[in-house]
Amino acid sequence: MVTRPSLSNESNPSKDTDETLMARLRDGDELALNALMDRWEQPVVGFATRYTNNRSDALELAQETFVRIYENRKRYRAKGKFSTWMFAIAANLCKNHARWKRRHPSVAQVTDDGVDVTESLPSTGQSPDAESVRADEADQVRRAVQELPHDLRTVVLLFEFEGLSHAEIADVLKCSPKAVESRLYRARKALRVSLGELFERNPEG
Amino acid sequence: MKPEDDQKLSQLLRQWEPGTEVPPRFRSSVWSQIAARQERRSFSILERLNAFFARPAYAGAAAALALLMSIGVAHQHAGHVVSERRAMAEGSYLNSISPLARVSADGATLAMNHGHE
Repeated sequence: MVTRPSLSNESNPSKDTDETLMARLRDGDELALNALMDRWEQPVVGFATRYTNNRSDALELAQETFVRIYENRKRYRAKGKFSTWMFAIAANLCKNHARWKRRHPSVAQVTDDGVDVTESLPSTGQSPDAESVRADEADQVRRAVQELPHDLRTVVLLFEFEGLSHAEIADVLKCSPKAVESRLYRARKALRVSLGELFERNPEG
Repeated sequence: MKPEDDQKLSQLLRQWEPGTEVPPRFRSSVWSQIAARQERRSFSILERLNAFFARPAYAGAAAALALLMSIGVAHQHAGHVVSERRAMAEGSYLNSISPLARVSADGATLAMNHGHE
């Protein structure tokens, strides 16, 4: 039976590294999971939202990621970075979820509020026309990323949105940094093709 | 692909900003799931045992195994008891026919052993 975490004054979780927090979690300090969630819930939700394109599914998968982190706390070895281990769990869950969705295509692709994530773009304070153009472009990007196969999509999401290095992504996907580089190249090439006109007319960064 | 193209693509990709805010109930939901799963896991061991014994074939096999094991244990125990009782009976018989018989018998055995040496 799980005991709810209580407040403790022994150490400051916000100053501990992820690996220290995992060691504390393994030793029974359940407050450490809250500190890890503080730090990582947003990136995991972001990754899952972009991967699944469904807010409700993304929240479920992000929660499941933290449940798995808790359940596997004793198996965690602090050899690599915690974040790569965590994203590996999240990516696997997303992959399995996508496979399940393919087998059950009748399930509606809407969020828990009944709103597709593409409709919940944050406002930028621009004119309605500019917002509409931006929303349209974001939608094209979303569709282009969604069309990528799992490996390429994961590489793009982790590199472009979560800021992971090639070596870190290699840890997540259990492959070499060279393979990551190659996948990123193929993903970018595919995205350029599917974004076509939008890519060409977009001003250079 | 040129590096400036990569940069241009990155910039384009970052226009996609779906709502990724985390609801306040997120953390409590994680803890509830952990608690529920642990409860379910401890319960499921009992359920599995129940399901196992609910099948007549498995229940019969388990009963037969238990019976064989108990026969084996009983047989071993009975052998031990019988040999103990036999030794006691021999002793009491020797004592009943001649109280010195056993002592002399023991002495003869000792003498024989010395002779062999």
